[in-house]
Amino acid sequence: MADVLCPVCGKPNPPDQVECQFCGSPIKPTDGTTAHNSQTLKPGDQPTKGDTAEFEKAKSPDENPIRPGDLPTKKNTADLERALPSWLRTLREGKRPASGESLAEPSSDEGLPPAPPATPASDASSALPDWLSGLGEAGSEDEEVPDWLAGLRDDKSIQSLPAAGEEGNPSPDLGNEDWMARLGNEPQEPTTESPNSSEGPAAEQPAFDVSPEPDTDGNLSDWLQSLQSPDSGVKEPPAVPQSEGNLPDWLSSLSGVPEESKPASNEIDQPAPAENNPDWLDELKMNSVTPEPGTPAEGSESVPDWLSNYGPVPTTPAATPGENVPDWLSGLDNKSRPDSEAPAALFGSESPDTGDLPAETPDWMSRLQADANIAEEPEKKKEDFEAASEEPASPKSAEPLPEWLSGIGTTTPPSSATPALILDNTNNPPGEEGETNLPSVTPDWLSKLSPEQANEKAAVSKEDQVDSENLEAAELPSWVQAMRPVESVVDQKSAALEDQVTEQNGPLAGLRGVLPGQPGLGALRKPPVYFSKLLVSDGQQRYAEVLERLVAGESNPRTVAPTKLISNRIWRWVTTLLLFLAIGLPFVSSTQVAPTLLAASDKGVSSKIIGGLPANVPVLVAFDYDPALSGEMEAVSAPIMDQLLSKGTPLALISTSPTGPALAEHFLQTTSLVDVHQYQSGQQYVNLGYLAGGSSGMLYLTGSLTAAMPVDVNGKPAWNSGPLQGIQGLSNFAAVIILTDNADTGRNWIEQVGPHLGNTPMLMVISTQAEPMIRPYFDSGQLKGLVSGLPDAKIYEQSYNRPGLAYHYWNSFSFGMLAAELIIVAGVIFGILADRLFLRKKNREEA
Amino acid sequence: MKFKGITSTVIAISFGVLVLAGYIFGYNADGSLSLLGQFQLIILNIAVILAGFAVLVGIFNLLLVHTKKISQKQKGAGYSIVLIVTLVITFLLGLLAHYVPIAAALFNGAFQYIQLPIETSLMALLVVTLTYASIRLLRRRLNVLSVIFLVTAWVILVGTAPWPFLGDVPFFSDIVRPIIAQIPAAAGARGILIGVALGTLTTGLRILFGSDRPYGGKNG
Repeated sequence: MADVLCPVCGKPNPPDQVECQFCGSPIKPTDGTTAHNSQTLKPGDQPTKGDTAEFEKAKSPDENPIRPGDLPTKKNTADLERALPSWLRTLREGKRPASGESLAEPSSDEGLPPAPPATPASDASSALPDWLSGLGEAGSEDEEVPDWLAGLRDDKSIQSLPAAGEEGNPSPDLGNEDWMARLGNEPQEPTTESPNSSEGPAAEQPAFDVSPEPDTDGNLSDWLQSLQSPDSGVKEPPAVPQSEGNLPDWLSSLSGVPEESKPASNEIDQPAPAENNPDWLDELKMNSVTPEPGTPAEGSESVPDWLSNYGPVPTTPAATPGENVPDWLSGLDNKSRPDSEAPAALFGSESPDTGDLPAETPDWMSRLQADANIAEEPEKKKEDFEAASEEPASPKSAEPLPEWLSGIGTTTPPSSATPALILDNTNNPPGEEGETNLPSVTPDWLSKLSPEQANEKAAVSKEDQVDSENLEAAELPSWVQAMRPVESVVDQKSAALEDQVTEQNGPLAGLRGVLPGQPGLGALRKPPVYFSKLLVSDGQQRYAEVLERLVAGESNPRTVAPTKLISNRIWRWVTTLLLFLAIGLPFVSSTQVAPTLLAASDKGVSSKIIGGLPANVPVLVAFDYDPALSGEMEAVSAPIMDQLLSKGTPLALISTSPTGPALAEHFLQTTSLVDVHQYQSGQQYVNLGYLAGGSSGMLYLTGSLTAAMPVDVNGKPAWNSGPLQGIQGLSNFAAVIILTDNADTGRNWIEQVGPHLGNTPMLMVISTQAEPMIRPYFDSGQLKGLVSGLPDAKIYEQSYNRPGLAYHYWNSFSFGMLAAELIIVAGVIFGILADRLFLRKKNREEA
Repeated sequence: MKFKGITSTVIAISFGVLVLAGYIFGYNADGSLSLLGQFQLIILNIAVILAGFAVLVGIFNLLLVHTKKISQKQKGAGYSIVLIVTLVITFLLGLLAHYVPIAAALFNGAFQYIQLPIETSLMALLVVTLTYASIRLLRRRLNVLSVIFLVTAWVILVGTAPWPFLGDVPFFSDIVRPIIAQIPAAAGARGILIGVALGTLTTGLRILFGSDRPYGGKNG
């Protein structure tokens, strides 16, 4: 449970402490206060039905409601007593709090009961100024606290704090009377205010607006926290959120009273007769000044009707939508500020008019001021809270205000307007703009407060506290004052705000400082200067020049000198004619004019191998040459195949070229030396056809011969019958003879098939053009025999004395090659000479 | 796309490794095919079938190209018509050659009396063309390389064929030609083949490692 602060010295005391253990002042209320507990209105209790007709009696039908700018009419407040409900008068008469009872300070959150007696009533009454003493007398004579209000006071007074916030936060409606009553040592005249504040609609309870803020912020002072603690005397929450009509629970429960028990709004609004006005109100009325024109009057709806009868009371300046300050307090403020600006906060704010106020301060007032300074929190909301409750006590008139009141006068720039944004509020003086944009639930005094003001208030309150302790602020050196953080903050903020730019267009129009005023995120600076000249060494420069020359040389097209040649057609025809004659004439002649070569390239190895092959074992022959070279290949292959066929060796024909099967058929049927053997397909030979896949097909053939070539070219099974019966693999053949004109094809056969042949020899009959590539395989032993070109074929025929195509081609071959050699040499020489002659002639012509 | 690339990469690498392993471990000690060898043969069979089918695809593509050329009436559309007609006839003869004897005779005759002489004649024209090109070579570009090229060709010609009435040309037939054919020519050709082999090996390894994906994917 939170400690209870002493209302006098402000020091914490145990909750069960009756008297302050520091100063001996009573902390808890006296018996007189507890006597009202029986009538304390608690949550859920139904208020006593009162006769509200008395209000109608007191209401003057011809009186008009208070309008903005109207001066209050001086009336005798004693007449208002008759307008009080009977239950209230009864309370006044019989249940007036004892003199020693301290009417608890009405908190700003309205629902809070009064704080414990801050000062003894006797002390307060003895030191009241003149203008307050009148109130005290009037209150002591006429006013009574309702039971429900007294009960609330009793319940809360134990827990509440006597801090300045309490003293300076009289609720504008209900709390005001308590506050004033405490000032006057007796309940203030609540004749029309108490019912109005307690029973009026939520819209007419402006002081409730500030109550949720301490709840949410958690920046509550101790006494507020004690009020909110579950151990407090009253269990209902002290305030009601704004969304619920700004009514605390206890007030909401009051609003739940049947209509007949409630005073009607018109009854409440009935103004009391002028003669019932208390003296202080009369004084206020006398000092009221007509507000400046143009001030908003939106808040007129929050002006109680009873106060509207006072006409001249300038309530309009402080009347803003949703303002929680009672109008009568606003009127006070306006009266003190004829410029219709916002009332300054009583506590925690500077008061430039302090010097105008009387310097005399009662002791109890000084203590109250000290307590207020102690309890004052630096937080903004707390400041707002205090400022709201202090508004009614900030008149600047020459009335004998207590010094502490004048000292806590606001230094806030006078304004009755509410800025739309806090940022704007910090930049612009409050009251200049944005008033109408303020939500109806936001009090004017709250919206006018700014962080600077709060800081200033805090600073001033501290100074006041120091003053209360007889410390002279003037003793501070000027440089210390200059170093006050408040001023520095204000200067910095104002300087920063000056740099901010208000957006003019777009969705951010009207907002200040949301975008940087200058381009870029940082301060602009002059970009560094870099050298534009490339720093290179001499060597690098030379390399660059060389590269540049190379590139330039490549990009420039070379001009080739035109070469004028003699007619090509004659040369072509001459060449063709010579070749035809050189090749044709010997072919016609049957006489061998060219001597025969003595030895073949393989030195007869192939002939020996073929001669040693068994006659009944099939030989695989691959026809892998093109039709274009069939003339040479048939002439070269004929003597070897003749040797095989003469032995009756069965053949298996295969080809990796699509034209190979046809060439094989053509070779066996038409080639000289071969055709005489009359080999028949399916009997002496089997044409397996085309083997696709190139080297892959060759490899597949080695792994699975029968699967790779299951049928012959005629679609008949190749391996189950005929000459190839019993052959399961390449190694079963007697020999593998490759007829090719392509070196790559021969190499594939050697590399893919050769390793899987085992003891089966591989022979190769090739064109002359493939000899340079294939011969190394013969030299390495991978090929057992090699027949290359027409010369080897001529030797092969010669060895077996069976002239064939090689024999017939030999003379033509010899004469044709010789003719070609001579033509090339003659043509080159003639061409060079002709060009020289042509150029010389051309030069002569040019010369 | 990502799944496709990964799938094709996995297939290519796995099958490549298996075929490569089949070369090494394809045969057992007794000479029979091992499991890897059998798997290798299956893959090779698929490759052979695909290669054979690729020939048909190529022929079909040739037919489409020339058909488009005819439909657009491009230059040489008449030759395309001849090509298409000949192709269709030969194809049909080849199909019927197994069942109709006259179709087989016609099919063999078309090859023996049309294709074979044409290709051989084109090769024969090469003699005149190369001879004439050799004559004009030094007139067109008279430099060292041209001279070397022409001299080398001439020496090989002299050493290959015997001169009439003289037979083999001494020094050229038994010394110069064999040296040129077996040393510089074979060395150059072998060097080219080694380079091709190294490139093939590198390409194979890149495919096996997934660095190169010619079948599709990021690097494909």
